[in-house]
Amino acid sequence: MKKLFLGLISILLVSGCAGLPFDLPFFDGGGPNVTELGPDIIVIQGISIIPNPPLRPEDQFSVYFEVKNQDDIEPISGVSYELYDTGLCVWQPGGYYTSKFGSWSEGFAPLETKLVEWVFKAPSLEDIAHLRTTCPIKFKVNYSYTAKSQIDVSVINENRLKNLQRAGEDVIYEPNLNVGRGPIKIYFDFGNTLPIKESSSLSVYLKVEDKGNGLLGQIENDSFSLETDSTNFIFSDFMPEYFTCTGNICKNNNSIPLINKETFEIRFVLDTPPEDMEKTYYITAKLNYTYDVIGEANVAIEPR
Amino acid sequence: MKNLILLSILLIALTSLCAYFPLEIPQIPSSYQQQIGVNRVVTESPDVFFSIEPTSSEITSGRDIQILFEIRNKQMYDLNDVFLDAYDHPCFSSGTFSENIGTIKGNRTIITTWKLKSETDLFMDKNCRIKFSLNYTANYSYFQDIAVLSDSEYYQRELAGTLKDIPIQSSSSISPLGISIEFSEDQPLLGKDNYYMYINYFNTGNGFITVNEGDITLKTPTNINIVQADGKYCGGDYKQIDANTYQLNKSLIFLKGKANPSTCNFTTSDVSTIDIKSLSLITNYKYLLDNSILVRVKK
Repeated sequence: MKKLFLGLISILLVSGCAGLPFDLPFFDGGGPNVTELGPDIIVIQGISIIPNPPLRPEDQFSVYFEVKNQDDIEPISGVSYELYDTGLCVWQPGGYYTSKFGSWSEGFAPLETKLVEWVFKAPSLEDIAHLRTTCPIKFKVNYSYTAKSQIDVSVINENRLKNLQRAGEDVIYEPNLNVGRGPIKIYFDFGNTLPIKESSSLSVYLKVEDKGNGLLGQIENDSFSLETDSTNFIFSDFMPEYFTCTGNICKNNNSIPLINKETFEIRFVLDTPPEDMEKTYYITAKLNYTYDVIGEANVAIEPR
Repeated sequence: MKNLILLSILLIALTSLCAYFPLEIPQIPSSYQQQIGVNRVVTESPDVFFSIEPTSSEITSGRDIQILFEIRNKQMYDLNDVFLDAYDHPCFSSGTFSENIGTIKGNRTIITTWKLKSETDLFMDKNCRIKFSLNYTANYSYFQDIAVLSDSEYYQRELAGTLKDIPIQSSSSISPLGISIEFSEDQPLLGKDNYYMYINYFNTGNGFITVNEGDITLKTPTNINIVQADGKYCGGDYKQIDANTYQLNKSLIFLKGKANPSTCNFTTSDVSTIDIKSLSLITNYKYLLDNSILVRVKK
């Protein structure tokens, strides 16, 4: 009875601690207020095989799937598809798509769905040596997209800060980080407490994460940029092996790998401009990438 | 069994502390700064009512927002060099960001409208806090009677219990700046004696006050004489301009609404019976009130 009671209490204890908001990107405690749009733009959905497997050797079958643009605002262009592995099954011309690869030149309207059908022929009995086998039908849909993130920074005049502190006010600024749509997310954080004093140095940390279901191996050279909204708010220190910064603009001069779907922490230092009172500045990061969404259908072939 | 039940109640109570705790603890609204209606924000000080009201709290990017300002001088004296400034206007790149209003006469209201255009280059909705400041200069006057009695008059009244019957008044204009004077002994004061006067400075408003060197003029009556010690008046806080006029010799620094008081050593003059005269402190101060509105700019 006692054990039952203690067990019940343990369950209650565990359930009480669930759902804490530990969703900050990569720093412990504090950090910006993050508003993040969904990760997936182009998705593969509704994969189906007709007729239903298992199939007999030399049967003809079709694989259908839908490609959907989940963005309800932006159209997407540059979407292409490719069938890259069929196992022992053989792709046949005659489906709705007459090629193993191609692209939709007209692009995808917001929330538009397009159907793909490929026809295949199952291997012969000899090919499978009278043994049960599976054809892995593997395909990918790729598209080009730009990841965008923006964070605000409050820069304060030194005397204004003193006056606020002398008035007994808590001078705290919680930056707002807007992380745009798409599987690739760019997160920011700061090494200093905000608001930051005028004419001082602000450490900025950046990390890129792949939160989608597809693949991005690396950030290509010259595809990642960082910019402040003022030519007076300039980069004074950066990682020269990966970035070149001039004034308020930085661009990557080397490819940056994603290991376990994320980059290392990228550090920059910004020099804050002089201010009369307080001013909100924005730092915007943009990353152009091509993302592969993978689809797979396993078709079982049974010998007669 | 009883202990086990008690223990379980305690553990459940502890567990409830782990439940989703709101990150922002609601703040108790200040008595001077409040949110009225959906969009209107109001800041008040003893002499000024300042309200900001945007036409909408949400606009589509690229469109204009109109903001209505109401500035009311609550007192009978003028507010000068009134300057309205949007010192931080993220997401709004063009439009009116400052206005020189000049003088607002006593008990008058100024209403002005600004149009701000929101930026177009947005990739998602953005919450933008526009911060405004209202700067002005004004005068503050403070008068304090100083009653000096001869020895005979003082002891005679003390015996008769009429010392407190002497009318000693102080008056001041209403402003966010407050000044009070205290004496090392209760008034009335004895003639030919030595006393201390403590001048206290307060900021009773919700904004930031600036009182710089030379901004306070202290005029002492002829029945007292401020004593110079080590070449300084009032510990160096004031400098002498002429026989009975002194000026503030430093900038006042207000910490949580209070500045460091000035201590002035003075002697009372030799009077025949009773001499009541008035000390004045006239102050020119700059005041800054600020407030902000939050506008959501939609993509």
